[in-house]
Amino acid sequence: MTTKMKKCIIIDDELMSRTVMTELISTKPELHLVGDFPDAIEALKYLNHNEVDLIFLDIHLPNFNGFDFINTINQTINVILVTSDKNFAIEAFEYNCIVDYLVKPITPERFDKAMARLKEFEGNQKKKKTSQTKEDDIESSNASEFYINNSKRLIKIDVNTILYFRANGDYVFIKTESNSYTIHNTLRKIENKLPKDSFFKVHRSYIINTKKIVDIEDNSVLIGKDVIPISRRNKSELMKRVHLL
Amino acid sequence: MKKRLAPRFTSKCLKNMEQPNIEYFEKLSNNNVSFKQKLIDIVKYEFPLELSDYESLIKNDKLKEASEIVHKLKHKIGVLGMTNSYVLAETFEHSLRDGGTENQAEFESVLRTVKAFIDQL
Repeated sequence: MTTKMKKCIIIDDELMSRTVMTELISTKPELHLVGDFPDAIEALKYLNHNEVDLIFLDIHLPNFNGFDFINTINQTINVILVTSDKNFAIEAFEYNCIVDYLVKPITPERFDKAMARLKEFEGNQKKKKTSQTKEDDIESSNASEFYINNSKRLIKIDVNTILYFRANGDYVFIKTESNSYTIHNTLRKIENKLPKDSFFKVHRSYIINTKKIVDIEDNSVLIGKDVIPISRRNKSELMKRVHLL
Repeated sequence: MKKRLAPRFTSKCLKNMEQPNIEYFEKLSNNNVSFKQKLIDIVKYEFPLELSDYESLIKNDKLKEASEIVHKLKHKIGVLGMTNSYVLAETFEHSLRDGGTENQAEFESVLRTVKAFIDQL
């Protein structure tokens, strides 16, 4: 079985550190170094257009420290801190994405240990993800009603009365047969909680109740009195769900 | 008032001081001569720049900024195997961060030792 190579980058303002890290990374066949950056801003620009699996990150960076950087990327990528400062170790482990904390100068033996920790860390992440998916499935299959937080009031909504959901920035607009609500949430989170047999994401901004479809025409669907766009990518899947005579 | 660099230590003090070495470079390069030379070239390039920044910041009493440079110099001291001097650099770095200059003379003596070593590499 082949192991997927992990794309990684180095962010460190010292050339010496970047050179040492590059050498240590080159000894590990599971790692593929795709870039090294002397400052966090350059790295952020790179991450806007490229995906990586792991970041070797210095804490002391010009203008922008390592923790600011982690907060900016929302802890979405695993990080190994590489620093000459032992004082941030406690703070570091408050971040779920931090795998290890290496104090410079780094020896090959200590780097090996970090790689072993990375393997264990990724294993735990995988287990967590699997159990979360199971929980989501249970949650979605049992939901026939749910509560929404609307102006500090919890309002019960019968799932069968929902016509559609529409994303609007950090908010989601919910249209039911008799009402409409706007809540602070994301379409993705809501999608996970809906029964999969009757709700379908027809467009990146819309989830519809397929039982409420009035008609489908070209790249749109009529739900109640509202016309909802269907993305080209999702149309064939929607057509499979409707019972065509 | 602008800060002066700490007075030089006597030659006797320097004689007893921990001496730098390139064992770390040898270990990392694993008999790869060109990589070892690359590391030496980097330390020869980065150390004088950091030393010059440090001297200028201290002269201008910019202690907090100087602590950031000491942080980098500390790494150079570390890669040159000076474990006791590394601890001293760390103490001095924290002292600068808090606005103090304790251990300045000792730290600058370490810098001179490192510079002399690097110059003959």
